Amino acid sequence: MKQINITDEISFDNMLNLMQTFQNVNSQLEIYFGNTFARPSGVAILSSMLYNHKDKISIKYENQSDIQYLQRVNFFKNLDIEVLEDFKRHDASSNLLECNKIISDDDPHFIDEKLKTILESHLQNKQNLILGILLTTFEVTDNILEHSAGGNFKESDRKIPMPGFITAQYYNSYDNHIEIGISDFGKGIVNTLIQEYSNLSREEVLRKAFALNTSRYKKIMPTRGNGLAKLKEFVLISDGYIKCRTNEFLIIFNNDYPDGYIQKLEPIQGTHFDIKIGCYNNIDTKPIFNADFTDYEDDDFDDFFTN
Amino acid sequence: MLTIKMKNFKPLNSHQIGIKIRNKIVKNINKEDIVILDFEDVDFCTDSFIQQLTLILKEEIGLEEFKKKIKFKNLNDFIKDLIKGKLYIMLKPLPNKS
Repeated sequence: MKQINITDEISFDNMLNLMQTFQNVNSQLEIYFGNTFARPSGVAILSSMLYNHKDKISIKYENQSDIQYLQRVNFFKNLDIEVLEDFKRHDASSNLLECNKIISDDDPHFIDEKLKTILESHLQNKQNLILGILLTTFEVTDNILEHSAGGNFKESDRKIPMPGFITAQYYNSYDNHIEIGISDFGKGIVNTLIQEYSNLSREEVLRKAFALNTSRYKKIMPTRGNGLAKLKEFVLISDGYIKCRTNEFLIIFNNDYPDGYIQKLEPIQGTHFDIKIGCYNNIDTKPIFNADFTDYEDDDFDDFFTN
Repeated sequence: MLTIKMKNFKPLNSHQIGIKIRNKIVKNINKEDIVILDFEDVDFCTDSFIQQLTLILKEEIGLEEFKKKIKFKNLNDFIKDLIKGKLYIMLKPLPNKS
């Protein structure tokens, strides 16, 4: 039996550091949880890592409080691990989006439902900010499903063999923001795109993934592939950040590195995001999600609309 | 006239949902004089979704057929702007304004 102690904060960096430990594990796993602090990205990554081993896991902890946050975000439920809940579970937490498993096209409803409810309860008047958070979350979540056979302009119900995970928390204490963690064990961004962009280096492909119109289907549909570019633009305007670990890279976008800071590391499986979106101000989302309005008049397309 | 209620397909978040609706349009376009895409009770949709109902649909049915038969209805400002952006790409160069 292999024993793993999780006693530091369940964060993006700490969980990625653990990833090597979980690779090539074939024996039973005993995991000791000794810390009460967890961030959304850490929970999402840990969920992805353990899902593959879920039939071999037993858990240990000393105090119920050490695992309560994980219980609240449905961490153990997602892994089919039964743990007695020694607290009252409210139907709707006002700032916590439980960890959601993404396997098929039916799954992203929680964004339009629970996440929207959380955002509206905290950001009532910031409609554009809410819209931006929902749209970018949809786009990044959809990327998880695009790793499946679907997406090639055929009608299909996409289903992936290994689920991705997404969770989020709104923080309204000293630093008003939302953190979103997204993790999957797919091919990784660079490995997915490299064939289509074989003239670029792998590092250039990673940078290109966060630019407009970047897709493995670019020959069929040149305007496709805007999700990550729009996410980046939106996050930077909000004074937030994106950390993305995929294949052999870590790329970070923030206002110090608007074009991305890249570190080359050990290759890992999948794509893992830690996203922070600042919620201090409403954001003008029109230039990000819509077109450039300097190029045409408002009524140029009236023939296409009806009342 | 065929009216497709978009709210029945919510959330309008991906190419896949767009493909389902696009296929429904393509299947019926020759039988109908007009196809209304009704966005009543829809707050938002993604760029991925709307591409299927504009750029890809135009490729399949042709620009003239699209202009004549496809109409968007009950759009809020956000969705209207999103669609205008795609129509702009679709129609380049811009129609002459008299």
